[in-house]
Amino acid sequence: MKASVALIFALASHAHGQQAIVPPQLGFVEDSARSLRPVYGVAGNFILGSSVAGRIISEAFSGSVGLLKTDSSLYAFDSDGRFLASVHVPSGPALFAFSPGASTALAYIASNNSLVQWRGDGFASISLNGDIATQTVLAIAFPNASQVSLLLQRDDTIWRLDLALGALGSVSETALPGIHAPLLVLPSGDLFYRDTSGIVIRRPDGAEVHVPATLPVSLSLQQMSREWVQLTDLNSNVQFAIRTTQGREGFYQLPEITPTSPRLGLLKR
Amino acid sequence: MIPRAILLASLLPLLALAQLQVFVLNGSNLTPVGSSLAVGPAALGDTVETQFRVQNMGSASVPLAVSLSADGAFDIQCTPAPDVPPGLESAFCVDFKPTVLGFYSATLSVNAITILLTGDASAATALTLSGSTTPLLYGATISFGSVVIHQTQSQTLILSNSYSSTLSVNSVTVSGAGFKGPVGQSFPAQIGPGQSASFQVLFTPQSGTPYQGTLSVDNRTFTLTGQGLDPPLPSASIVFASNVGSSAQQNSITLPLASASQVTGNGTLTLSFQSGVAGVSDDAAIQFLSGPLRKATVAIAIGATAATIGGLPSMAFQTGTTTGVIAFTLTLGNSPAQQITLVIPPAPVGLDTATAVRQFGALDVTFSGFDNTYSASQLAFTFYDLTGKALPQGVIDVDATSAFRQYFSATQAGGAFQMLATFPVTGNTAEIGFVTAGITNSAGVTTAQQIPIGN
Repeated sequence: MKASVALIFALASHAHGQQAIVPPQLGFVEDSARSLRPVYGVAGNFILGSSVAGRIISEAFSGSVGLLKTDSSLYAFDSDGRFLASVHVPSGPALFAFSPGASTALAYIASNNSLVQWRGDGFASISLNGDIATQTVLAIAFPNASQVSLLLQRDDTIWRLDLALGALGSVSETALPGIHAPLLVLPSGDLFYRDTSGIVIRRPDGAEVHVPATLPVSLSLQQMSREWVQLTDLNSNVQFAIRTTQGREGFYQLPEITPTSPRLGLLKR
Repeated sequence: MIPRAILLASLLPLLALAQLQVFVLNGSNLTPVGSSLAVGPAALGDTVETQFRVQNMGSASVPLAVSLSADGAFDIQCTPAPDVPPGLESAFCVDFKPTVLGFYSATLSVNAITILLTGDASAATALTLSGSTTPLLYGATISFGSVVIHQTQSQTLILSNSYSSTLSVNSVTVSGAGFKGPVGQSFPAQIGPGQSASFQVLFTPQSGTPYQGTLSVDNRTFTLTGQGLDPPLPSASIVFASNVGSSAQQNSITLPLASASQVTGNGTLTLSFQSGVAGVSDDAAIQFLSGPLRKATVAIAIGATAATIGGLPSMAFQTGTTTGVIAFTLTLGNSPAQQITLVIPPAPVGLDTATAVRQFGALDVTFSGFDNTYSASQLAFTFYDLTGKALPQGVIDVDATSAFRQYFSATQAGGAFQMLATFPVTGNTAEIGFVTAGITNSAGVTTAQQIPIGN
């Protein structure tokens, strides 16, 4: 069928209050001083913006919404770094997962083995099966609105435990041989883990992409946007970024924030 | 009154005598001289020089008269000042230079003070430096010059017998930190007429300071001097991981040394940027990725074959998104600064991402990328249906010059940009399959092929 469309160009969509040309934002990262900062630029050229929050224990950003945890609270924030909502939670670190559309998200609070769901307009608590309390949760995933996946360390093997969010029952368990912590699962289903010479991205279809990198001994992984992952050297101030875009995967070093770093303002968008 | 005046006049020489005191200078030590002083011994041809100091202990200036009874071996070489001011001293020297073997004496007069000088001229070997025919004088200085620390400089010395009978050299010793010897000849030694014996003295400084020691040949002493030198830092090179200069790259620098360093050293590596875009002075994203943004400390350890930069074996940096020249200047120790540059040439727009999304009644096309010339101007979009056939509108050309100019004039993101182009649509957007977009700047045209339309 022949297309019957009329196209009229408009460089800026002023109706939505957006500028036509803005600095490209790659996501948010937690810097070595435990502050949340936006990252601008393009692959290989990163510009860290001013801190928008401090005293962070854990954070992640989907590309449109982010979650961050301080000692006592869990916050949701948008792409401009504005806080959307908060809820009181127990102390300690949290693991985050975003739904494929990033409209909702889950936070796993390790200290009390609980889940908190971001529903787009507020938080809601979800209890987990008590059996999980004795196991080490390495990462979580939120593959669909009714399911959470917990990646667990059991002896030398990583297991994926899929739970129904409503019924709180175990749906299935799957061993993931050959995978080692630390781990991260993106909403796309991409699974990140380290090997001896870099990072491995296991796509949902099982295909694996190896991203060569000299990795620090001890590291953690956080989602910094839809197609970027932050890798933090836990023994230094060095931060890295992994591009996950299919065919353009890459490993980069992020600029280090030092006391003498200029204070770039939040770039106008 | 007259008898009293005569008494005062007769006391004046005694007062002057009491005011003056004669010392002999040994190195930096002053030793009072009594009624006699033995100098030497000296071999024939040697000159033994004695340094005298005459101090005025009184409160008035005293005229000074120094004389020596001539005997052919002693001689005043350095003439004293005619007066010795109160509280100060005057200097002169007497050389003992015997020409025949035997015992010598002379009377040295310093105003009313008399000192008997004695000297013994005995047959002794002559000491010469290898390569020289002139015997070293008694007390002469043997210089080793400047020597890099932990390295050894040697001086070969020759003892020669110009007499008709065998001479004995009983003892040769070397003292003083950094000096060692004699090497190559054991003592006591017998040296026959017309014969010679050689030995070495070694100088091995341990620090970059002056050194002084003593060489003693029986009763004769010679001063050894040398200067320890800190070795120079080996030259360093500035090496890029990649010599290809382009925007939006992460590169790194190492500083290999020409040789393993024998000393520690430090310096700085600074980064500067000369923009090639008129009206743009800098690009803040051009920076080192660790530590201070544009100035890193450089350190060299003993034995190192490469310098560290900011404590790291290599320093990563990013090249920004502005055409120009990135310069790295290395300052290391006292070496002249050296500079190396990485030219970032003008380039067509680099596209990092390109997406197209259906909205209600519209299509949004978004690019992110960089224009290192800050001169993006023409946009060209071509939409295709699901079969891959271009829509009837053909190429939609847009002049975005002013929009980009306005953006680049205010942004802190260098040449990086994200552009959103919205296309209101009349009709069914689901019939549009993909879009091809071109963007032009002063360096060329970049085309994003077949951007699929997503939901």
